[in-house]
Amino acid sequence: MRAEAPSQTASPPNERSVAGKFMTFKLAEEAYGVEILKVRELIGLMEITRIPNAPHYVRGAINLRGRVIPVIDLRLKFGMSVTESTDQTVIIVVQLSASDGALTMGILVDEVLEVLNIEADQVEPPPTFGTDSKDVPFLLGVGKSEKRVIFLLDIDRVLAMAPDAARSN
Amino acid sequence: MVNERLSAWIEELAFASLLAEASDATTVRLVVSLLETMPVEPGHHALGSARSLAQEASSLLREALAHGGDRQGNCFVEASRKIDRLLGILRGSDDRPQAVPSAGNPASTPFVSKAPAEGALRSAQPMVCDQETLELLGDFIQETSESLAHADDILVTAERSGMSLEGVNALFRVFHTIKGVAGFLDLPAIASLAHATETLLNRAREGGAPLAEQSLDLVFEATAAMRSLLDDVRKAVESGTAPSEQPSQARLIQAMDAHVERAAQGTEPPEISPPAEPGPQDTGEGRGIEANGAQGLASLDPSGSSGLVLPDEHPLDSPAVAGASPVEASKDTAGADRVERQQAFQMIPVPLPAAPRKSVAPAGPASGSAPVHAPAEQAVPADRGAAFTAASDASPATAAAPGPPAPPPPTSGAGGGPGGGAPAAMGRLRETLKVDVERVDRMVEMIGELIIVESMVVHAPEVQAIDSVRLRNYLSQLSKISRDLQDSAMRMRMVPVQGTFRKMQRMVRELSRQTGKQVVLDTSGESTEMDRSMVERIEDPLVHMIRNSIDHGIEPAEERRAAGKPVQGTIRLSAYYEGGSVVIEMADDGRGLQRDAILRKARSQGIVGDNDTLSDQEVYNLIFAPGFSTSPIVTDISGRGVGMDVVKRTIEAARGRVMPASSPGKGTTIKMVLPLTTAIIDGMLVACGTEQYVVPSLSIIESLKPSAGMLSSFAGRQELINVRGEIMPLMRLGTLFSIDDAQTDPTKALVVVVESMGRKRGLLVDDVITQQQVVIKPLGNGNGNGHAELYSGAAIMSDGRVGLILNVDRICANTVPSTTDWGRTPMEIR
Repeated sequence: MRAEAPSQTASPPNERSVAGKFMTFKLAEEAYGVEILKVRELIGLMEITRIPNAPHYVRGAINLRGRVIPVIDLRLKFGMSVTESTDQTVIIVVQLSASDGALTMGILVDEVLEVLNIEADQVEPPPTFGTDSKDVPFLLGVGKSEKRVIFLLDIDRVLAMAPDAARSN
Repeated sequence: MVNERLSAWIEELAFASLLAEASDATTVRLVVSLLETMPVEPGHHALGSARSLAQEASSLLREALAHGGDRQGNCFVEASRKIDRLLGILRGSDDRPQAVPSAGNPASTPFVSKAPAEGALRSAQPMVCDQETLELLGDFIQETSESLAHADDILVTAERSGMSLEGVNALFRVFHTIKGVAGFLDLPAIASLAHATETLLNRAREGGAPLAEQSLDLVFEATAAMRSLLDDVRKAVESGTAPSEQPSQARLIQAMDAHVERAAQGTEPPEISPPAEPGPQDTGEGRGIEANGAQGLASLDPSGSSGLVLPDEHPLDSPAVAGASPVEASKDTAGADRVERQQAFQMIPVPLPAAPRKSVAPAGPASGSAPVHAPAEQAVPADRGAAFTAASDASPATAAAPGPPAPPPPTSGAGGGPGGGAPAAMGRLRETLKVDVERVDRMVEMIGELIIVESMVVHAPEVQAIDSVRLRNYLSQLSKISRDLQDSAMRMRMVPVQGTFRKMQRMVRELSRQTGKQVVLDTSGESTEMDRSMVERIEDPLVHMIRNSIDHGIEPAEERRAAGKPVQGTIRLSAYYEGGSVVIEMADDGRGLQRDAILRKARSQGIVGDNDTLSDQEVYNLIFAPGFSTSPIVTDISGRGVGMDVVKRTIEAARGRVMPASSPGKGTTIKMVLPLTTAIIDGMLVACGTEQYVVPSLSIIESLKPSAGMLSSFAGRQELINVRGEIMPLMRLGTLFSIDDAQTDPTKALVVVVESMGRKRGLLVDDVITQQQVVIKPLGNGNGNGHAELYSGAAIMSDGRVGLILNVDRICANTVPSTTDWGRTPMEIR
């Protein structure tokens, strides 16, 4: 139940253009995407050790080939109900660039969809939800594919709020 | 030339040495005491070498006294030979002025001076070393090679862009260090070369003059010569023989001395030719050409003089005196020597390329007294293997060759006793390889992963289900090899604490001078090994502990005298293994921790409430509070209250514990218990509900099954447990970690008694599963949100799952978890 992330060469999106390849996945019925360059690998759900007294959205820690990395339940992080474990449940291992070294973390998602190449003209700027702009910093933009709308996440920002980030070194 | 006191002493020594018997300690002691009271006669030209000979002889005799058996015989023979030479020098100095030039005119006899003479005399000294010396030599060779490389860098730069004063200073330091250590290790050849170079450099340093080109060349040559000397020593030690004398080195020293001399006279140094032909300078003795040739060979082959070497007969040896030496002892040992020598030859590793030449080499120095044909025969089997069989076969011809000449002429008594020259102690210098730490770490890390996967495979239920003896055997083999691999990987990072202890040694000397208190540092267990990072980590704490000890612990001399203690304070620093941990212990014999003063200060600082009563342990632990100092004066050395705080923090960061103990008037002991590595700890696996946690074994006192009578509670909230009269708070792991399915009835659970900083807590868990070593993995980036961490890291269990390691310090610090940040109020005591 493990698939290495497909390698690709797209340059990381900057402020202007968020175009590029995205790993898309589902949380409940919604589709989200993370830049493929941030994704290290996909692993099937494995036993997660709970970390007591950690924020509720930290599901725990897993042993990634000898390395201990924390796993974030993205649904809990976004205020949804807890991710149920199914055949489709996947941990996306992402590598974040932190100011003091790279961090590796797992994010728990309901289902991985596909790797999408999103062109610049398919991306809308992040919407504002009324006066409450709290969610907006997480979003790079909103991508449109033939089938659906994909929320393109700035995964660094999403997880920077997580206090239990794992350091790779 | 020889004054009366000296000549009286000479006669006395000659007489005493004549009477001395190896078996009679009193006679030997007399010789020692004579040797050690050699009269001082300023200006006597041969005195330098004579004095060093006297020292060497006396130390040899002391060694002979200290040891029995063969070694005693060897030392004794060697010493008597030295005494003979000594007497020869002193007596013969009047008769042979041409051999020993007076210090005034080195230019007139530029190639003969006491330097080569001394070297030649000492060259017969075998490299007989104990293990410690071997290690020191290994370090010395390594370090010197490095500093020589550094010196070369400086020289090359200097050639291109001129020599700066800074460069000269750096070079001076290099050679100065070499000289010092070589002197200590008794490597006279190296020391004298370093000395000459140092003198040369010092002139440039003092004069502020840049090194002239010739001087530069000389220093270049010196580094090259030093390298070959080092090589010499290495080989000599490995074969257990004496390092050969290199004529080129003696020449170089000459050239440098001459250079300095001329510079002193203000004349331009003449062109100095490179040392082309290594020719022994004492040809006045009338040695045959083959002798010279052979000696040349010997000098080409750095391992030249092997165990077979008959000591070089120096021109200064007057036959008359040599005849008076006690030859009996040497005869006694000769037979045994032969056997020993042959064994030694067999021990030389066969692929050693120098082997055939080794057999040839002895021809040179031996030619003085041994029959020429003997070394020649030795040289015949040019084939390496043949030389070996020949030497070890004990066939009559070859056996005779290395032995003393059949009819021992009375004058060559020295020649008959090559006991000292026999490879009595063959050692192997530890060779080291410099490897990038990162590579080692990477490998260790990968091995760690391998171990985890191995354990996962072995413990996988599917594999466990297979009923096959063969598979089981294979798996246990796999496990064993994996553990061994892990062990050796861990050991790769292990270094002895020796280096750190040496630094402390220097620091104590310095502090002792600064404070005017006489303090010595006794160290033991220097070879105790720890992870490299741990050794680095203990350095700072040790510095603070020792500073504190010297500044506050050790009393001034008057106070010590009044207390009936020796004026000189002693700090003992020891390292030893205890279980799976390393203990570094520092103990002084000072005044001890002053409980009352500490408590008073702590009360005034509000760290401790006025009505609190504290155990001794708790009071002593107060010294680790940040900013805590009972010292009214802040000195350069200590008093700011920072040091001990650093000690505690550093050690605890390394998952270690600090335990102070003290008895008033007798001293303070601070014990640091540290894990062997930062990567592995011994842990007790405990279960609570469906979860499992690791409790570091270092903190566990005991575990017990509580009965209802042991339990009580305070104010209806804080549970307490009475363990054999000792009442301590009871912490439920299930509550601490909000574990829903934990056992709620304590009598159906287990209590693990843990301790930290002298405080004990009962930790209620469902069950204790097993004890195991776990690899520590970092978990997260330290919960930057400031709430107390009740776990200190993660471990990967044998089934591959992640387990959390409990932070016992935090658990013990608080009775009610997560409400106080212990780190900010570390001295909170209940």
